[in-house]
Amino acid sequence: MTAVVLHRTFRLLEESLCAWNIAGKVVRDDTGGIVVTAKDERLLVTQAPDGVPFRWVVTVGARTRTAMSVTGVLGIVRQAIDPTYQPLRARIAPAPMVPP
Amino acid sequence: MIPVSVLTGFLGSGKTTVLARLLRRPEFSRTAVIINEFGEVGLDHDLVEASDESLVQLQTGCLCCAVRGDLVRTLDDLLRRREEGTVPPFERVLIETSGLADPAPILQSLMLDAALAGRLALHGVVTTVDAVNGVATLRRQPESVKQVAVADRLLLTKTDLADDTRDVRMRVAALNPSAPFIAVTLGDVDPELLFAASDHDKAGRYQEADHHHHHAQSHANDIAFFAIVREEPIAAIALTLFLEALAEHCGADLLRLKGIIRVTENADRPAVIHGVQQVFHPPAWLERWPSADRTSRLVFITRGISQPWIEALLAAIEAEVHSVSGPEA
Repeated sequence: MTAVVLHRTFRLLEESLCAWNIAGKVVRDDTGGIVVTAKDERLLVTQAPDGVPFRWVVTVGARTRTAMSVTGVLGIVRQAIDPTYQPLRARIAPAPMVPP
Repeated sequence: MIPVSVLTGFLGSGKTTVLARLLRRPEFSRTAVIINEFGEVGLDHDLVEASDESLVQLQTGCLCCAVRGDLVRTLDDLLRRREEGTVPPFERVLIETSGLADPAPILQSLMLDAALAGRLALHGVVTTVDAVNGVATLRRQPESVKQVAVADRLLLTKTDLADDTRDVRMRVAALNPSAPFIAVTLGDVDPELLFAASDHDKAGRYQEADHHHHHAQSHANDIAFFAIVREEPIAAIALTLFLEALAEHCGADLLRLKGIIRVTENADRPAVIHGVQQVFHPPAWLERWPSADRTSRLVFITRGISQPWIEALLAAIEAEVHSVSGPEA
């Protein structure tokens, strides 16, 4: 994963706190991870090591969760800090994005 | 596919007057009209006269609530009867909603229902706004705000009764700056102005929205209008992840999304996408770009969702997809 990805993920998490009206802060730690602090929670978002079938690791307190994409990270973070968040129960199947 | 247009607008804003005039126009023949009224006893269908080549059908109840399933059944039944030859071979469908209807669930039904898929295509939303009472209605009635926000065309009615329409125009433009405004007197309007929108036209409107209203924001009723433009093509997987995330995190606050997209995997054929709340229509692929402008343009109408968040979301997804599939991976 490139520095650009980490930077844009950092920006997305910053904007997300504003968008969700949640007081908190997003900072980079010494190891390059992203730390989100809000609602008495501290979350650490890091890129997964090589050789594992996921790209992100999100540590919420003592729990560790994994995500395949930045959108997965976003869902995990929001679930941890936004009590009003209600994830969709129904999965929306993506339509084919290439012409038939 | 048969185009379906939705005519909406708050109670008393002149929908039925417009419809009655439209149905007298020869250019508007061969139209199946579904009139929805709120209440047990319908009246509007008695107020319109249609030619023999058109068809008017009445539904009672509110389309966006209990009768939503009935709308699908009514349309399905109309299509079946058209195929059987028991109704005139209509070439377009117009749905007049009740004045209290939230148009979003109706648009969802039109885009989502499997029984209608491949036979009907949502063509556009026309919203009437009363030049006399429009400002007060928009202040008091949240349904009217939504009706304006999702419109592709706005009809300013009763202009002959209003001394000054500047306030209502400003208010409506703040809610939906991309929709053209057409002034109407006594319901008289050229059907071509309302229902002739083609994909080419839509693409032009996205361009217009971009040029004139790229950063337009309205804080009235928390409704925001903005456009996102991308010079570079967007990978199919990035677009899919983006739409999924919008559905997941925005839900009912994403009032409408329209876009013309240059997809990396097929950059010569633009994809046209439509979304209403959590529902996204399968992309329609145009044969070619309608102009030399090949930028991707996404127009959002939202409630309480900020443009910076959506920009950041797309940027993060694009960076990740690029890092996985691009030369740096």
